[in-house]
Amino acid sequence: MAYRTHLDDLWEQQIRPDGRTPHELRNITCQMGIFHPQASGSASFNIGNTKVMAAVYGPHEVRSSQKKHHNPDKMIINCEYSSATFSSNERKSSTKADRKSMEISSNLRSVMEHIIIPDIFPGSQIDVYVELLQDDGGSYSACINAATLALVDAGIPIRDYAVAITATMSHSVCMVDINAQERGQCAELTIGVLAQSNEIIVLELANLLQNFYLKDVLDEGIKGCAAIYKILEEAVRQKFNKMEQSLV
Amino acid sequence: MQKDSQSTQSTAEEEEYEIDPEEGVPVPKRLLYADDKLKFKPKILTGTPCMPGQRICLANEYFEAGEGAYEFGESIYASALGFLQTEEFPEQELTVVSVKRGDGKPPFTAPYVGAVVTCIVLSRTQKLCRCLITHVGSVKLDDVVKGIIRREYIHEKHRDLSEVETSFGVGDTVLARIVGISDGDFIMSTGEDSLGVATAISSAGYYMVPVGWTRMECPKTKETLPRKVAKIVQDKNVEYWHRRNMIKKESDAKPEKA
Repeated sequence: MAYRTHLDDLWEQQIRPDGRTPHELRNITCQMGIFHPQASGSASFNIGNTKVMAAVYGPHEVRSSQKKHHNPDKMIINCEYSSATFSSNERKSSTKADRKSMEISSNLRSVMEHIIIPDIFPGSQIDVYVELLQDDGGSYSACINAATLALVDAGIPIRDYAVAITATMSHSVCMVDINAQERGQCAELTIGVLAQSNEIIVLELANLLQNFYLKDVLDEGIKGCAAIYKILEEAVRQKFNKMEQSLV
Repeated sequence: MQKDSQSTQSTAEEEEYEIDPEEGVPVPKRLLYADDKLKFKPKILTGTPCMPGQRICLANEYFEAGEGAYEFGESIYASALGFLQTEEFPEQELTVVSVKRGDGKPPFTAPYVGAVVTCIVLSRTQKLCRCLITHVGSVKLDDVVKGIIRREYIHEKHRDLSEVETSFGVGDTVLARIVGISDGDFIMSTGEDSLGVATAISSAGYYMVPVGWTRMECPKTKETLPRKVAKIVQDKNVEYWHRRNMIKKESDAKPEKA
């Protein structure tokens, strides 16, 4: 027989291990133009202890390594994700070429290709570099948010904001924005939507989730995306005010 | 209140039908003349800040998306961060809606097919000359791009007779139009009167003066060299920029005097 613990009492009152309510997000800060003169667009996105930086370079001419494969009627989008050696609990020696980061790079690229309007300047290339500085759960969704902010900063024409967040169901409670401690115990569903139309563009599940919970978890995640969109919009507004001030 | 209720009743009762001249089907009268409503131009406040994905207005034959905006379904949406601007063409009854950055720079610049570009000649061979594109239209590129002018694209007529050596020199500034893309390089053409060598420097180190369509002369040594000379048409925008710069200089100079 399992013993009742202190945590179980907390779950009963719908309080999560780190003291948040189920619908509460961690503290979010974001900043645009962190590498201002060097990159054409850049942004940092911190959610709780997860820290991500993104930089956009371009448009520039197509690099020779990709000349052969590309479709000349479309703009090339090159996406590279890497995590710092000190980002997670175990220190990793090389992170750029391992399977996990290759997978995230290609997934990020498909998201970017979905939101960027591709047929405007054929024959040019855009580079998106995303660096994970600290991982405390929800790193992939943070990468998407950071990359979107960097694209907006660079002034690259995009259809809509891509915002993403993680959600899960545990102890019969739907939760958003799960951290690394909760990730070990339950499933992690990453949900990415277009902000205006609520069209789902990313859906990724780690671990197992009961089939009939999916709808509730999805609804919860989409609500969380709306909350994140408000914060991103606020950051863009601040950038906007700076732009206006520099003109006057 | 009474008037409103009467009017709604009357419209419900007196639904007049008329035969549509195009389709030959009876259509309610108010729908048949609905096109006039589309012509009605809502006031778009120029200068309002726009976010990517924000809906701006209805897209129909009277409204079109310009730079920094895109059409999707029946609406125009912003695709870049910036301020709203409208441009009206009264002849075609068209309004182009665009979103531009405050500093006058377009939100996003790269060479595209059909653009007139300014480039500098890097090297030349018998078949082609390689160039570095520095400006697209009047906008300076942040990152330089390479381009090619093939021998066949130098002149519009007598394509086989034109030679690279008698048309361009290394270091010349050339105006050209982009006609295509191959293997990631932009292919450019100078087959127009207004395109060709804009400025060239003689071996003595002076800017050469064009004498005729195919020759340029050094003002100091009177040496002439063969070039494909551009007849440069003064753009209204260029005049505007000159005037603006003059005004700026004057305004800069004034406070010093005071």
